[in-house]
Amino acid sequence: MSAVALAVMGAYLVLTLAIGYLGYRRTGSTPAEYFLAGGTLGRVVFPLTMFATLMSAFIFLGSAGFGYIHGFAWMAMIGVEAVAGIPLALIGLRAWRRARAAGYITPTEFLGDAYDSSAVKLLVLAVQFGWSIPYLAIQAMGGGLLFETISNGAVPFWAGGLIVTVVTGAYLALGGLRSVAWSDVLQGVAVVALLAAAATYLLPAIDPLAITDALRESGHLAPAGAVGFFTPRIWASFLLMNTMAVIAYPQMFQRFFAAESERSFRALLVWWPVMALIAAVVPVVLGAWGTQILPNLGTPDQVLPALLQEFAPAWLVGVILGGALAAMMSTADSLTLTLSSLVTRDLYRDHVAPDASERRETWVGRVAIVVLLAGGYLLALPRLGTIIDLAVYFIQGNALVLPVYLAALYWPRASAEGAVGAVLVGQAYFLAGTFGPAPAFGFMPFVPALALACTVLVGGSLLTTEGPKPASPVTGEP
Amino acid sequence: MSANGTRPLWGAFVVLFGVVVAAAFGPVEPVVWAFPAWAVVVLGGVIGAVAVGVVAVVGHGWPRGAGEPAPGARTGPGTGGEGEP
Repeated sequence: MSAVALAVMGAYLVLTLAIGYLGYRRTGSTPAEYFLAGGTLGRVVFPLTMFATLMSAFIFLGSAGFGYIHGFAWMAMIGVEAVAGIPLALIGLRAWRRARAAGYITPTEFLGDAYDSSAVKLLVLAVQFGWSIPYLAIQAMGGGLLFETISNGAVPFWAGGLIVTVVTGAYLALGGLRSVAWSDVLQGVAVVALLAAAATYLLPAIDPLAITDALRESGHLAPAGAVGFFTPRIWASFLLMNTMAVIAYPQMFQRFFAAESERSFRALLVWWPVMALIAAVVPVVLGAWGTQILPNLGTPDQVLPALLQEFAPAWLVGVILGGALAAMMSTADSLTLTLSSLVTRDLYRDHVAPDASERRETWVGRVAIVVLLAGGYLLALPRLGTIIDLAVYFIQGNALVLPVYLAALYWPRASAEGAVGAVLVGQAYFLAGTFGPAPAFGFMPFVPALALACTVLVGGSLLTTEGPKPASPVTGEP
Repeated sequence: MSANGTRPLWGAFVVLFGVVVAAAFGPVEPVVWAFPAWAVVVLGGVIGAVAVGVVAVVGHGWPRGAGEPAPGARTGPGTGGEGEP
């Protein structure tokens, strides 16, 4: 199996590099070209790149593993991301209109302008940057583990992680978002098609109806899950968190700015829920059914590869695990590009070299990409479990920033003081609830932290402003 | 649907999100094919999101940008703009 799978993954990496090179030949030298592909993502590329950006290797490995541990309950946690497609399109369109009018490139540029405050911009930048670094490391870890597993150890962890990091860095540094978006088309289609292929191939072999009674008895059909983790409050916490994070991830919010026109959001509204539906259902139910086919798996995350190895031909296993690699790289490249744009625009241009040319800005972005990927790789090498734990909080930490973005878009009275207070209080309570004794009242710590952040945002804004802000001469909006 | 269609879409989101939240209280029985009843409710919410997207875009042409009035909408001076609520 390993030789076939490695050949498939090698072919996939070469194809991705070729797409990256094509993107490079079409990319101009301005920051808007490099970081936003000149705002040219249309009805086909835009929804696919949004989907590929969100879906990491977790959807192939972790989501199936959660299905194995908890059962069908995890389907609701991912399924809500299909419903989140509605606010994603609505908020995205509004953000795009603002960005198109004012020429924003980074989400924090938009925030700084909306609140007329460098403090808001730098604070949100620091928070989102801080939560993102461990997530970047985990993508390199995923690459290392994938190659190590498939090659039965012939490709060691460090080499697998290095291969993925170098390939990602090469096409990313060359072509910026254009390379990322074009490769995302390949990666997005691969994720959906390969999940569908896995389901089609495994369903007849598993015969779900024959194992339904056993699943009911083990608790894998219960909404609380097999180990009773999903109490109604935890259930609601997860749904809220996943819905908000989809919009608030910096790489997702920035991608709004790259849409070609309002028609791009039409395509997003139609196609996002379809793609999310497949991603939500297939890995989870296969993982849950896998408990009866392959009981006592030592590593639940291995359930999907193990099922495929049991029932599918070697070439199909290789192709589908190539899909996991695609999902992983499509998240890593987007996150790295966004972080490099934050470094370039909000730190370098604003605070180091305000007079730098656009061409120089773009090159600084390329250097930042190399540094960020190298940092993520070095963090991944020790395989620290704490990094994985921190990456889990990436979702919650980012979701807590969403009220500040929403207020900037929808509430004219929102003030910088309210926004700064909301970020500080929300993050502080979240950390105190996660790592300390702050009560969560049966919810995940993210929920009381969100309630506090919203209260401070509204209260602080009402106390520090006397009425709606005057309309911006640039956007015509407050 | 209003000119920009945002209010009905926000309403649909709230309803569908509520459906997925409420599924936590749903029963395991009856099992429809291999899916418990509560999971069928979740799938209903997800498929509802697919339907909402299709109806909003194909049926109502969401979103209507400037210079692209809704079918039957009054246009001209004094009839209001296309701004979102």
